[in-house]
Amino acid sequence: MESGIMETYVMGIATEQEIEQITSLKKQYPEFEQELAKLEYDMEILALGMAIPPPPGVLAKIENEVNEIQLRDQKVEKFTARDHAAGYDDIRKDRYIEVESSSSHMRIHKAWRWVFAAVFVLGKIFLGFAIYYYLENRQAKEQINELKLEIKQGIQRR
Amino acid sequence: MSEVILNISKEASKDIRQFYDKYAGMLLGFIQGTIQDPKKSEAHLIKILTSFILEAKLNPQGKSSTWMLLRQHAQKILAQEQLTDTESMITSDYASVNPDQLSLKEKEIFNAVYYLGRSVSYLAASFGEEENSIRIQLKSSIDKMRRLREN
Repeated sequence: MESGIMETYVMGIATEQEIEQITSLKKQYPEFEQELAKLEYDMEILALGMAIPPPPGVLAKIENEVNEIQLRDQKVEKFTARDHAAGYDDIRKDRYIEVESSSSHMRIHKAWRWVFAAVFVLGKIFLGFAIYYYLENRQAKEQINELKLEIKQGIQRR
Repeated sequence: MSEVILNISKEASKDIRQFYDKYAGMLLGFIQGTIQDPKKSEAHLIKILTSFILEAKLNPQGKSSTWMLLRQHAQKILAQEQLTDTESMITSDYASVNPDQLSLKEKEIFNAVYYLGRSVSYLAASFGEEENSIRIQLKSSIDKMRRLREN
């Protein structure tokens, strides 16, 4: 108490270390806390002794200032809330990006591979049939031509 | 001003009035210790009290006294505007209430701490003394003023 640490604390110039020390002393020694409270009180009384009555109208000016600042802050809050709500839609839009793809590839479901396989196999079968009937047809035409030729030669011999 | 058109609640208005009644005079005394011009002091009184009220320090939750917080708040605002760093306050100071009881050094230390919020280390460097010596002289000046008040 004699070191002057209480006075530096009450005057608001105590260092962090001194504040920690004061806090610890207050917890440990109730009489220290009482002495500190007494010092704070005395400083207040000394300030009271130096008080100068404020001129009339100052309180009204303070109330007016407080009121104006609070109203202004409320307006700012409202604008901020509205801007926030409007901005939410933009945020949602912004969450998905439209992409113009220039890729030549496409992605399809895996089930389609059986369809493609079936089409491929059927295609082969039809191709096989087509070739078979083409050859059959050609062979039949050749036989007809041969028969026609034989008939013509038989008529000429007679 | 009528409370009807005020945006502040009746209870808040009552708190402000009580706070004003208790501390406005003390604060004006503090301000006029540094700013001699009554109009400027009044303007600063309004500014300091308004900002303090808006920061809701009327009923501090901590253990620090309201006056201590208010004085520190005033110190900060006045220092921001570089209004307190004048020589004038050395002559028209808090400690001069009973100047015979305080040494010149004690008065200077008290003024520098009380009005300007100068730290012990700053004063020690300014006066070329040990920090402990500054702390003891500050304590001595406050003790003397407390004793004078008691007498």
